[in-house]
Amino acid sequence: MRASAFNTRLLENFRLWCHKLLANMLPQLSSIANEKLCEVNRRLDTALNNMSQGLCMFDSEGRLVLCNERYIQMYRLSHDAVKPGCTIRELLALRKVCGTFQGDPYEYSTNLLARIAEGKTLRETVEALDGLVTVIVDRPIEGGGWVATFEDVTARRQLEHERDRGQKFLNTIVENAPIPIFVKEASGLRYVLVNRAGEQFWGVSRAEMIGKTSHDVFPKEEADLIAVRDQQLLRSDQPVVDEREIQTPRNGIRSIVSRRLTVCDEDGKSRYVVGVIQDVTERKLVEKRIAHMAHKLIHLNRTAIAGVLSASFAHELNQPLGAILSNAEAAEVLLTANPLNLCHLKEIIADIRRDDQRAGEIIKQVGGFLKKGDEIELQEFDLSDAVRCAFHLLDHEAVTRGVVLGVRQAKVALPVRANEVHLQQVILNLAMNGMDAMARCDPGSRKLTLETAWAGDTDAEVSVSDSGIGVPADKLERIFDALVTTKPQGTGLGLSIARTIIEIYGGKIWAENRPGGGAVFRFTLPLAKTRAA
Amino acid sequence: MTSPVIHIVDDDVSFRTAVARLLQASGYEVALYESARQLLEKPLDLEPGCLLLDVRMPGLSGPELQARLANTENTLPIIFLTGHGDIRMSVRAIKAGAEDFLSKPVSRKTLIEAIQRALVRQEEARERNLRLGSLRALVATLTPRESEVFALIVRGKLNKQIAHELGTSERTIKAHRHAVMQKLKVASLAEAVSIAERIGILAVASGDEPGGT
Repeated sequence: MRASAFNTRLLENFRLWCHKLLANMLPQLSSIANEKLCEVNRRLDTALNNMSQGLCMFDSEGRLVLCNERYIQMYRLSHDAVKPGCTIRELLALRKVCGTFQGDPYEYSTNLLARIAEGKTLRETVEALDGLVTVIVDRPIEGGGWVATFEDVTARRQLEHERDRGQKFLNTIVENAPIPIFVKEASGLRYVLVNRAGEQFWGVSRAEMIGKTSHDVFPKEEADLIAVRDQQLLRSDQPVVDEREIQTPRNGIRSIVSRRLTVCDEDGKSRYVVGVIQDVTERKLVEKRIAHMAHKLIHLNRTAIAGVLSASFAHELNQPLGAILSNAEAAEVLLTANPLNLCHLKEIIADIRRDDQRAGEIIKQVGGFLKKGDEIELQEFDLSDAVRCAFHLLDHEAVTRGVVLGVRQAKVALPVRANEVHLQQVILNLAMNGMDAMARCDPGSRKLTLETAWAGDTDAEVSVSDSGIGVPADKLERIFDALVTTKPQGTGLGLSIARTIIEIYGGKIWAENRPGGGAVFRFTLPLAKTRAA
Repeated sequence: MTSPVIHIVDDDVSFRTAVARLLQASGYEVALYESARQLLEKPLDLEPGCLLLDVRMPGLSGPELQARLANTENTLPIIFLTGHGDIRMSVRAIKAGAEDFLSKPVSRKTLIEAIQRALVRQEEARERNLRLGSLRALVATLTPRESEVFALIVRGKLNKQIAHELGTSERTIKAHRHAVMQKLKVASLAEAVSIAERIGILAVASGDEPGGT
């Protein structure tokens, strides 16, 4: 190496540069002595040649002072051609031959020298034909000349490209996802991302949202709620999924399921609130419509039952009415007698009053059974009372059909929470089915029994057992499905409605065949108070 | 004649009592039964009177009781009272011989008219039966030979034909005919035919098994 023969000024400049660049590697350079120069140079060579960057040093005339091994490799030059003293222009010409430089060597070197003379550092990224991407930095050094470093960033570039592609890919997905997605930065809770579905959902363009807080976008009441929810989310740091109604800026009130979570940036500090929204308004409407239809069906079924029982109701009502009329007319006749038998008349009036009350009770019972109120209202009542009411409603029908109707009630109260009329309806459905099942049995053997009992510690049970023909084994499971019937004239709705009602109140319903013949239908409901209470 | 007894069969005590009061106030005697079975427990005090039957009762229903009574000596007319009757039910009851079919509530006027109608009809039937009974008693005084002659006379046979049919002389038949007319206390053949028709002798000859009491 002829470096030792070069003037010491140049070396000193290089030393200063090296001190900056390789301070950790070569601390001993600061105390270099002339006699150790050779040793130092050797070490310098080693250090230079092990750098990952290419490195060249030029004097103020643009002549090469030194270059490292990496530079020669990077641009596929030969060791013979690259010698200290050759000019930058010659080097560029060599590289052009090797295909690692595309510009005009003269023009390039002239420009470069001019810029260096101005004391400016040059930085540029150059992409060669073979795909090699380098970052070149030309940095002037004190006293003239410059150091050029060449960093191969091809791999990094590729990674960056891939990252950019991945980012774009994700952005496309987020943008086109059919569900509203938004991101807010955690510190100021300002929107930083809103996708297209979000714009449509809120009825607000992203231009109106990005950089804004929810108070800038939403009605105050809603914005207050959002702010509170955001704070809760940030405090707990746990993802939250919940269902609620939201007042959108321009799309009215919508039902949503919102999933929100916090995420951290790469630096682990800046946090974001990410929200994904599912608009369930339509689904809710459909659910509401289905529920409404179910209610209508329940009511229709009750009307149908009442239709079947109407003869019985009329009969039952006409008993007291008939008694009242006869008593009144008897009294009229007795009033013409002389002397008046006041005791007898008083007795008659008392009877009229009693029969009038009885008629009123019957009307109340039937009216109560038919009332439109089909809300899933929860009253607490004794299940045995519902069974008793059903028994009264069925009493005459059973007599007409030659059925002996029995009732066995639990000795203690069975408090349940439901709409009592709905449960009477279930019992009537089961009972009428039972009577239908006995229609072709011997008149003396038709028995229908309603029974209430504890079922475990938490449930109450009602059973309706008949002495009829039973249920075909293959239909026991399906008999509660809509439109499944074992009767020639059955609609297949009664039991399905019974199940719907029981399930609404959290109960279970099923059918069994009795060992001695006939079927028993049972349902259970959770007790309002447990047995121990 | 004793005052008629109205037998009331209804499981509804209130209604039963009220109707009984009304009928008693209207001058009838009443007998009350809470079920068909109770009515069947002892033989009915036959006449005069009628039955007021509820249609729908636990155990034996009204129409079932009607069917049972049809197989007995009962001649009491039946009036059905129902809380809720349909046409089919009423037609069936009337066909089976019910006197009337009324709906509850029933007015005093309707009820009493129905009862009266039933009682009048029953009385008529009773009188008819009584008359029929006395005619039968007259016919029963005929000797077997006279009966044979009577049966042939009322069919318009001449003495000569009868004598031939019975294998005897015309003179003998003439004597029998005279005895028959005297015993039946009739002066003309037309009267004799009328008796024969009323007690069913003419029907017997048309080929049916002899019946009647």
